[in-house]
Amino acid sequence: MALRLTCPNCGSRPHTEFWFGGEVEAHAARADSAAVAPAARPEMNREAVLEADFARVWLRKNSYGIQRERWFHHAGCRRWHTAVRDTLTNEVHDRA
Amino acid sequence: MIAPDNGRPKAPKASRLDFEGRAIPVAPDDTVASALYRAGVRIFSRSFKYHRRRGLYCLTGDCPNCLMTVDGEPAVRTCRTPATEVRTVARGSGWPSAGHDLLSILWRLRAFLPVGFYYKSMIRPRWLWPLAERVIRRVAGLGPIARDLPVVNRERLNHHPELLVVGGGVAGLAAALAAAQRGETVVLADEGVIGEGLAPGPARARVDALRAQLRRHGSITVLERALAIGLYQGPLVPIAGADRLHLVHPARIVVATGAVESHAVFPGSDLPGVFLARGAARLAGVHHLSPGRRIVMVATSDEAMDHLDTLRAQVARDAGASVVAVVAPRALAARVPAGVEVLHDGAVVAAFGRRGVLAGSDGGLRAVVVATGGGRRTIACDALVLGLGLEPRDGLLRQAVCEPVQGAGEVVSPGCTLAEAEASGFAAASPDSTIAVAGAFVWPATERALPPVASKGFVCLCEDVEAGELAQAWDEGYRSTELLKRYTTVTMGACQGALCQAHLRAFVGERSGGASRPTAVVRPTVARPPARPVRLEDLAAGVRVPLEYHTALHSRHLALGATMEWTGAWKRPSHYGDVEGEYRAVRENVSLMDVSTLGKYQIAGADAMRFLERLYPCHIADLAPGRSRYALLLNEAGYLFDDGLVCALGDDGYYITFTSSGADAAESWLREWAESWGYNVHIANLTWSRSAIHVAGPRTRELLAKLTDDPIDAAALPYGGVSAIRVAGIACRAIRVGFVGELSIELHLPTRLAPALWDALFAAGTECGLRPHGLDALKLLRLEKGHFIVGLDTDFDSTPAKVGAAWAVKMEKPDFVGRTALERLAKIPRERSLLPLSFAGPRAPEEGAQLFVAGAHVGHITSSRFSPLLGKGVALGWVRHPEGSPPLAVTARDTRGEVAGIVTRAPFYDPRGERLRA
Amino acid sequence: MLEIGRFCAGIVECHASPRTLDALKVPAGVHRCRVAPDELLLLAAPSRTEELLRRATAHLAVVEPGAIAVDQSDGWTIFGLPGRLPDDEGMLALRQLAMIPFPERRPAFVQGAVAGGSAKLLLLPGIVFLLVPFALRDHVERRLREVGGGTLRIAAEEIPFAGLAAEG
Repeated sequence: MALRLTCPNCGSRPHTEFWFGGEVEAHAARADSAAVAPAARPEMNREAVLEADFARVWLRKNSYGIQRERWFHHAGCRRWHTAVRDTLTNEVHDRA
Repeated sequence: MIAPDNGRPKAPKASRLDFEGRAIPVAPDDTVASALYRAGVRIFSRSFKYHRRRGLYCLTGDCPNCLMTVDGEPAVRTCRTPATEVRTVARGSGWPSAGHDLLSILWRLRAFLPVGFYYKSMIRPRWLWPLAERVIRRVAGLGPIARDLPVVNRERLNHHPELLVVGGGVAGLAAALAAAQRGETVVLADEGVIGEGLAPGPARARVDALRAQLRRHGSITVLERALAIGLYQGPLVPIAGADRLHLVHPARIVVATGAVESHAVFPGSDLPGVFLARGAARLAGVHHLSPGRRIVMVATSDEAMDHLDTLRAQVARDAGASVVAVVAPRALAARVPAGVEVLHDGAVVAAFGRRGVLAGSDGGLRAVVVATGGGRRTIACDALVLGLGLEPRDGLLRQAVCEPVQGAGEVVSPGCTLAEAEASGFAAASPDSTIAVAGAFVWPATERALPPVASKGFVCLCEDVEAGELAQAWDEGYRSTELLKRYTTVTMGACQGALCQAHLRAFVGERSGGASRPTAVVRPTVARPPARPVRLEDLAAGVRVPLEYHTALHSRHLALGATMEWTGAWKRPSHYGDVEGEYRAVRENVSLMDVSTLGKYQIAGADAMRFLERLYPCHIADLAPGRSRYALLLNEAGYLFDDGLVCALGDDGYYITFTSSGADAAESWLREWAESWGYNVHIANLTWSRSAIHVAGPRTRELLAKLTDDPIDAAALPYGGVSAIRVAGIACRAIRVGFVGELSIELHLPTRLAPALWDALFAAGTECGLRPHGLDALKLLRLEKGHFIVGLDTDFDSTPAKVGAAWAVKMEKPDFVGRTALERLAKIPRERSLLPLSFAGPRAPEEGAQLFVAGAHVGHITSSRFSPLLGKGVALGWVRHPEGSPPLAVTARDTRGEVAGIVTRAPFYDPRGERLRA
Repeated sequence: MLEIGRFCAGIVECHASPRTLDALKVPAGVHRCRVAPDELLLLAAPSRTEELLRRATAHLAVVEPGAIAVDQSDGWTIFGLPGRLPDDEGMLALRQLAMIPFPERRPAFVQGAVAGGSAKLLLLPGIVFLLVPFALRDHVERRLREVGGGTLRIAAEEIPFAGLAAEG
């Protein structure tokens, strides 16, 4: 109910001011999406590329314990930040 | 300071209350319970399952016995409710009444109602269960909820103190004062009015003295008659006050909720007339009422001896009442005054009630059996006062998971002295005090001796769980505190384990190893909010009003008689009373629609073009300044989640729009990708500061020409064009769009000027047959053009190909969001498509109609309207076609019958788009 | 009786790199509200909007091509609530609508949810300016009235925001 997150721009707020954006690994993988475009990797087997893309889009670590994840402060600065949360205890550590 | 109320008038203090038709006089300091007791009421409720008589027992707000329906509100703890604020009181359950309850026969039938009987019986035949459930719901429980209660709109008040103290006893007051003396802000919350429940004596004196000091500290906010509902992460402690919900966000918490008298379990221990010692002392010392005429007391501590003194002082004033015997350990016997019989080292093993239900007997206590070293003695009495020791009232403390919480006073050391409690509160308030952390914190309760295990009697008064039922559950294999709790519901009632927790643990300890196994290993069950019964209106406090966005033209729509509807958080006009007239205005003349709800963004920066090119599935790089393009928005999985326009502005970058409902999430999506790719782009959200009016219809130019000198002909502003024009003197961005299939221009302008432009267009438009149109007309207009609405016609997994929008996706682009997924999905045969359907009959099928081919179900209709101009029904529907090409004809089946239709091509209206591009 | 004022202000939103925004000088009487490292909200009297927009645009054009300044004056509606201490009437109303811990220092700029909407607050000595999206003007007004419980009056007309201009 009252998970609190610390926005680097606005400070500590209840989670209702944020939107969840998934695991940070999925975010990081987005930077590489060009790597799976046909022009970018002509040497790669196309089937293997598509399989890698499937994993990138659909498969998640779903960690038991410490997880780095993305949160968007929609009610405040409207920026993303990365939080470190223990999925077991729901504790949030302020520093990414 | 005391938090002020909301300015609402308080009901005047009453001098009597209505109890089931009887007028009961009320003294100024009375609680509802004390007023009823003085008037001779002894049966305060009927028990949850067996309808046994229950009378006053704890008087500290812990047991369920005094729960009644007060002014229509069920399950109110009458021992904590001031009588002067109440008008009507009634007992919740019992048939025909709680006083003479024929359902008490259930106790004689208990052999047929074993623990968990509803899991075991009435399984076959299946039809029996719904009937049985209806009966059980009537018979069990705490009474019906009145359906005519007024709606109470509560608000929240947020507090951000350094310290929250729950409990206004000696320890809690000491903690609050200690923090305030250090200059910290403090919120102190108590269930009642601080000190009010204590009989005169040293504890009352100390509480009064400390309470007097509170006033000297402006930094202490006192919340009285305020229930702490739970400890949530944050930390956040919602506290239900008399007139509002307090949300306390403290840095640290001290829980000083005190202790509750140990509950006794023996046959008959739940009879009216059996009291816990603190409750009896409250009755005698605060309300000057004797718990009975012939009182037997069990006293095992110095505190209980103090209560004996309070009782004796009361019976001395009450002719005919007396304390007839005291059961006490030898060490304390010296404190029993002369003239009272003392039974050394005894224990009460059974109690008997008066018989004769039909004769009108209240069924109260008649005699108790005391076992001593010298054998058993039966003593006639009508009140038994039990001072057996104390258990921590730790329901709140046991909720702590990782909050900075500290216990103080009796909740951690029940029975401690006043000085110890004060010192403990003082220490707990310190920021340096130990922080309780789940797993590391040793519950004080686990170190205490547990009560003896009884084989008969009620372990749990709230849910009517008898000792034998625990044994039965154990034999069925439920062999831990948590499993027994879930199966028998012990500790799950209104008291949340305050009375029964220790007995449950004692039982498990004995069964799982007896004396050879230390009882400390039997942990208390985990507690969850709410710690005290909570009203639904408190849970809804401050959140019952949904966020409601209005455009700048909202009052114009209302003045025009619009019927408004929700679209996302926006309120928008469905229609202005004449959907077909609005539709015809667009098709034949000119019409206005308020499209200010569109998401509107400016994208600038060195990488703006590269960014959008990589984001959208359409081309962006070739979009010349002054041109716009329709764009789909795909997620990484290749699924459509929104659509909109991209307008190239030249040096200022791009102006992009999203649909009304998609606008809110659009910014997070834009920023996520901009950040992932590391592009130098700036994203300005213009959704609030810019409004937009859609002008559509063949006479659009005729209308605008009256209000502008800027060129708006097909050369200056062609289909897809974007230009800056002044309309009625207001600088607008004009965009030629095509959603409704007519010549149409969106005018985007500063929000505060939107009403002026709307009025100017209206005034100039009367000669052109202008009228506004709402969403209902829009849905028909776009349907005639075969355009889908994202989220209405599309599903979460709609690819562009499935919805017939593959033309808007340029797979030759090296990369865009969703491109690889679409390439992957293209290898899988498409088995479902959103198709345009037409129905020649006199009516269009209803939206949601099911589609069939040769009797086999193939899909459903998402949008459907009858087109007055085309004279037929037009629709969009999802159709399954696993064999390859879609069917040619379908039958739609809705609530009114069947309609035959064909799968056709869109647009239905103006298929070549000549009107659109005019 | 709690008197709540309504204000209109000149609001210019600047998007540029953090360094550019750090270096952006504003004239006296203009409040700098840092929304994010790369976004700055300038708040001034409405009569100064054009001047402010021109100055900001000119500065950004020189220092950082591609950076933008946009007029967002119409995007916000502004309520002015009197009070400073947590138990002052205006702050009491805000504490019923927001879970934000309000700082006691002045001036201060705070962003977060108020009455369920995304709000920005400029806390000045003795008065708090509450900025909510223009589309929420009716909603927030209604919620203020509800928590005020009949003891509050909201001005019907907007008056120009002056901020701390008077004190220079």
